[in-house]
Formats: sequence, C-alpha cells, structure tokens
Amino acid sequence: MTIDINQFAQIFFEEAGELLAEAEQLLLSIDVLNPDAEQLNAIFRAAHSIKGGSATFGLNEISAVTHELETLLDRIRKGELPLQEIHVDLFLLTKDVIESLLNNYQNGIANDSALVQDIISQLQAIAPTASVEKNKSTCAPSPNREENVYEIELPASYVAEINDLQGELAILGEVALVEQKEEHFVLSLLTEENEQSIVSICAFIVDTKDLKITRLTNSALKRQADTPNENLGYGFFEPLTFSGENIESDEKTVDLSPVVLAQRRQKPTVQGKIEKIMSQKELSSIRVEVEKIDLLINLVGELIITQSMIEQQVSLLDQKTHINLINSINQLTRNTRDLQESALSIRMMPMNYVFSRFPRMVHDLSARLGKQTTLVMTGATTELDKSLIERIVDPLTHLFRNCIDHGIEMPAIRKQLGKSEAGNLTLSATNRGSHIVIEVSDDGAGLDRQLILNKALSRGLNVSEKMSDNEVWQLIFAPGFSTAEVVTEVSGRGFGMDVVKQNIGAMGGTIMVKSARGYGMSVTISLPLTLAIMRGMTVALGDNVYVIPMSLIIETLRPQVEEIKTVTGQGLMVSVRGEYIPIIVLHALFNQKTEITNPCKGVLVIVETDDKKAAILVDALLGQQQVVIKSLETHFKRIPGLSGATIMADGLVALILDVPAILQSGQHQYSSGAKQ
Amino acid sequence: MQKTILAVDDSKSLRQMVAFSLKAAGYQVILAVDGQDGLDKAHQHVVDLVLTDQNMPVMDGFTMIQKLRQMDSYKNVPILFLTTESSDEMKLQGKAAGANGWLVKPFDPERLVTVVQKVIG
Repeated sequence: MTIDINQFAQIFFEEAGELLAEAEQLLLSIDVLNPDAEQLNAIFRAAHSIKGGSATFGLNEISAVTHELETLLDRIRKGELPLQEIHVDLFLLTKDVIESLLNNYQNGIANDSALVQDIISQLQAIAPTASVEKNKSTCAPSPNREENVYEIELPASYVAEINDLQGELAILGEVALVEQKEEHFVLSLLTEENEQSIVSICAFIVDTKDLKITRLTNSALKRQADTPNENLGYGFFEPLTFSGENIESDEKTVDLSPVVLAQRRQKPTVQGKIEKIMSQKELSSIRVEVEKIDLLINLVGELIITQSMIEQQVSLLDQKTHINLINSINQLTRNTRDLQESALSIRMMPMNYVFSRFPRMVHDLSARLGKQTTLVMTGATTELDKSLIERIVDPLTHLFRNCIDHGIEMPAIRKQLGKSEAGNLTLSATNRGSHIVIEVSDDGAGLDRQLILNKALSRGLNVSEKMSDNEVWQLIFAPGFSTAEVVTEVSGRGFGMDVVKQNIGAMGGTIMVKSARGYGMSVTISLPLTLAIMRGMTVALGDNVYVIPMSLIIETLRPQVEEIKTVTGQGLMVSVRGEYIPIIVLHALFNQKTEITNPCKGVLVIVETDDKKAAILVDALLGQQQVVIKSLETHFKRIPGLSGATIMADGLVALILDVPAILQSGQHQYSSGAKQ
Repeated sequence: MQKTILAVDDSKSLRQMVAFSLKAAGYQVILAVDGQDGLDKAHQHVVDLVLTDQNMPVMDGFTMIQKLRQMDSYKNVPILFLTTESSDEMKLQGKAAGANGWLVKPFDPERLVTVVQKVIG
C-alpha cells in the first residue's frame, strides 16, 4: 500500500510558518547576555521540527539550511557556544530566508540556489568548530578523547545510594540506571574519563571493593541495542513479544522501574504553560470564512431592527390587558441584545495580531538608522473588530517610523542629554467604554513648535504665534506637511501623517497628539469597537430624522438670546460657561427646509471631535437608541456629511451625521464668508 | 479487535501523517501534542503501543516514557521513540528511560506500518 504523504505538506507549511513566527518572537525578546534556557530550547525545537518536516516532504533546501541552524542552536543551548548579538541577527536573517523558501515551494516557484548556498555558508562561518578555543568543562566533549560506556554494578545493599551515586557520576558524563534486581543494580555511564576516575568518585559513597566496573566496547554496546537495523532505520532493545508468538528473550531484562536520568530536564516554565494553553486553544477553534460572519452580523442587525419595530407597536397597546405580551417582548429584547453582543464578539480579535509584527520592525528599523530602542507593548489582549485590526496596521507602522526616524535621538546625543542610550517606545491598547484607545509614544525629542509654525507659514497656511500647542500639533496632519530636512527612505515625504489621519477618520476614529520638547511625544488613536452598531441620539430637522453618535456629544441645550453672538468671519457662536463655540446651522449646510431657523427656538447639540468643538443646530431632540449602521455607499451612493443610514423602529429611514466632516465644512463655510 | 496506538509528537504535520498511515493499516490512533498531553491521553485510554517524539515542549519524550512506566497499566506496553539521530547516546537514553525500541525520522509511512506490525501485529 502506498500512501501519498504530500497531502500533509500543506499542514507542514502552515505549521512551519507558525514555528518561524514563534522563533522570531523568541529571538527578538531573548536577553543575549543572559539567555533563558527554556527560550533557547524552544528556538532549537522550532528549527528541529522544521528540519524534520522538510526532510519528510523532500524539501531539501530547507532541510539543509535548518540543519546548519539547528547545529548552531544546539551548541548554544548546551553552553558550548555563547550567544551573541551577531548570532541573533543571522538567525533572524535565516528565518527570512526559510520563510521565502517555504513560500516558493508552496507556489511552485524555483528557489535561488545561490541564496541558499550563501545562507548556509554564513551559518557555517559564524562559529567554526575547528578554531574555537573551548573551555574544559565537563559537558563539552573534547575532540581528542574517546567516549566509552561503562557498566557499574553494585550489590543491592547500596540501593539507598543510587541517587547520590548518579549525582556524583553525572559530573563525569551521562549516567543512567539500567538494571535493578534483587541482588544487584547496574548503572551505565557514558564518559571520556577512565575507570580510575569512576572509582575515585564512587569511593566517596561506596566501598570500592564492592564495585564491579565493565567497559563496554562498541560491539558490546551494539549488541545491547538488539538487531542493529541501522539501514532499516529502526531497532529494538530486546526481542519483543507480541500476541501470537513468544520470542525467546534472554534473562537480562531491563527493569523498567523509575529511572533518574542525570541530564538536563525540561522544567515546566511559564513559556511551557503558554505553549500548552496555545495548543489546547488550537484544538478548540475552527476556521470560518469572513463572509459567513459578516452575513451573520448583518442578519442580527436586521433582527434588531425588526425587534424594535415590534417593541414600538407593543408600546402602543394597553399595558394591563397585554401584560403577558409585553413581558415576552421584553424578554425578546434581552435575548436579542445578548445575541447581538455575541455575534459582534465573533469578529473581535486581540490586538496581539497587530502588535506581534512590531518588535521585528522596530528592531530592524532601529538597526538601519543606527539607533537603539526598547519597545514595550501593553494591552495585547484588548480586542478590536477584525476589519479595523487590519486597517490599523499601516497607520501604526507609520507612527513608529516617525518615532524612530525623527523622534528618538542617536545614542550619543541621548547620552549627552542624560537619557538612556536606548530610546523608549511604548505601544498600548485599552478599552474605554465603547472605544478602544491605542497610544504610540516615545521619549525622544518631541515636536519642534517653531519649526512647525515656520513650515506652515511658508506653505501659506493660516497660522499665528498665538495658537495653542494643541493647535500647532494638529498642523502636522496637513497634506504634504513635513519638517524633515531630508526625505529619508523611511519617512519624511510629508504625506504620512495626513494619510494616517484620513485612515483613522475612515475607521470612525480620532487621532490626537501630545508633545513636550525634549521629553517626547505621544499619539493617541481612539477607535469605535465596532462599525456595525453604535449608540446614537436621534434629532429632528424639518421632516427628516438624523442620528448623531452619542460618543461625540458633550451636551445639549436651548440657548438664551444673550448667549448667541455673531463674529465677523466666523458666523454664529454660542457662549457656554464662558467658552465660545461655533454654531453649525445644519439646515443651511444640508439645504433643508425647516420651520426653526432661530437657534433659541431649536436645540444646540454640542459635539467634540479632534479637540474641535461645535454646536449643531437642530429642530428638536427625539431620543437615544442603539442604531444599526447601514452603509449608504453599498445601497445608494456616498454622500458627504453622512456616514451611513439606519432604519428606525417606525420603519422610516434616519441618516447618520458624519460629525468630523460636518465640523470641517462648517468651518470653511464661515471662513469663506458664506451667508447663512 | 482493533489495536490502539498512542502517537505523541509536537509537529502537526507528522501527527496527521502518522494517524493517516496507521488508520489506513487498520489501527485506531490517539494523538497527543507533547509529553504531558501524552500522559493525559494514556490515562484516558487503553493503548497497545506508544510512539513518541523526543524533542517536545512542556514535557519531552523520555520523561514521558519514564512516567508511563510508573503506571501499572503501562509497565508492559511496547513504547518506541522517534529520533532524527541514531547515536549510541540517544539509544542509551531511550533504553534507560524505558523504551523498547526506536524509529529514525524522517520515515515513510511504509516503514512505520512495517515496524508497528512487527511489534503488535
């Protein structure tokens, strides 16, 4: 029967990919001066696994490369070769090469054998065994002395000393208890020391005249390992019996009672526990296509709309006669809400998915720019909607590039300034109500206020020295803005921050900058947890109903006449506790007919976004509710000023205001002197 | 009656391959991902043969074999370990841990089935 093993190759590719990612993470976090044994073992195992798998599936180039890698890692984890930064860098490079080899195999592309040969040469050259001066340690086998196996037999009266004996003999090499019978027991010792050394060690514990030491020759050892089926690739230690036939075995059976091996034991560390948890998690999850989940969430959204329609109808009924129906509807509401939360949580993924790529990126980028950095990440378990997770990567990447390129100073300068030579970068994610807040900060030079103002002036932007720091920082988001003297290959083209802000805005989020010259800078991004559902305030404007996101509303009020002021060039303003807030006359902006044109007869909804405040004038407030967001683009077309639509409980459509966009155009309306 | 084999290896592709090959040959197969998982599965099932890798996280193969031999039900169950090297050192350690034999990796399914049949028929 021939079995085609290539069907398992795909699993190997996935597995190898995961192992490489894990190895990279370990390499980036390992402390070169004091490497953790468990981490070294884990990296070794990853290389070992990939080597084995690639050999099984005939991927010889990968097998050859990982063989070199494994050999080096084995020497390092055994303490024969001290770990250095150059090793880590080469291992990371090797990981990249193996990854590309895997990709090529998967896609049927031929591999560049020169590349393969080159990485193999580099691995072989980095720590050649011949010329290395090795310390004489008991673990490092020297190439000159031969190893032998000795069998040490002692009478059973010494049974209590077995552990001590093994402990002492372990100094000489590898020891194991191979036999324990009523009259005697036998220890075997693999060592390059001679018999005399063995006797002297044992002399501390036993009476040497009771010792019986036999040196096994190679042929004797091979005999011990019965059936030397080297060519067949398997073997047995003694003839086995199986059902049906009883093969004669000699009396010398290996007693299989508890054996203590005097070698490195793997202690269950936190890493080990994490691996166990991860592998358990792997077993209890299934892959689902994203489309299926989106459909499910859509259906749940429809269900909520229908349910609130029912709720509204029921609220019109007489409470007393329909008490049972009303109770049932309330139950339905609760069930639907739970279902909604559950459905939305399916799309939620931990930020770790995004976070995990940054250590490598930061490491490489810092190295390339000659800077030193330490990256601290917190809140990797905070969850975010899958679609947002993918879209946040690019903006965050750009922010980091800025930090490392422009923010963090060169190590020498940092030292002069009394800072640590390595710049400190932090990436954090936390939950704040219905939003997730992501912060990227550094302890570098911070933003240069004057430089930014000068640049803005030279570009003809409307700025003044009187602007607050916050307003100055916002300038960096202007299109084409960059104060970088030289456009580096990494950043400085000046389109970066502008696109970052656009991207964040498109995700329904906001971005804020804080900076202190000489101390550093932090960029804070706030994103809604989901784009599907939000809490909104419904307002009336003429015959239409609009929805304003609750998260942006600070307060609502009906102004008094004396609180309204007209400022030339800036339109109407309302004074709220001493602060003047511009009024956005919505019906004018949308060109909508309404009876209410006097702010004092309508309602002002004070909103805040990106540090800008505004008061939106509407006819009246209608209520607050959970709103299922439907995209206008997919069903109709994109309309500026609106970020979507929803279906109300009464079946009518309400339009959702795109508040940041409205604030922006509201400003232009007045600064360009448009009439109301 | 069908014989049952417990296969322990941290490589998913290898586990799948072993399971497929042995099932095709008529055996029941139970899989485990590391030494600790192997022990757990050994407690839960009655097994006729154990195949295990050596290099695994959480608990390595030889440690698992030792612990298996401490269980009454596993004192006489044949155990083979999978190894990428066939050095005397490795064989010694395996024997000392309590294994009955070894199989060299990489192996093809035919060899695996041949060896298993030799041991438990």
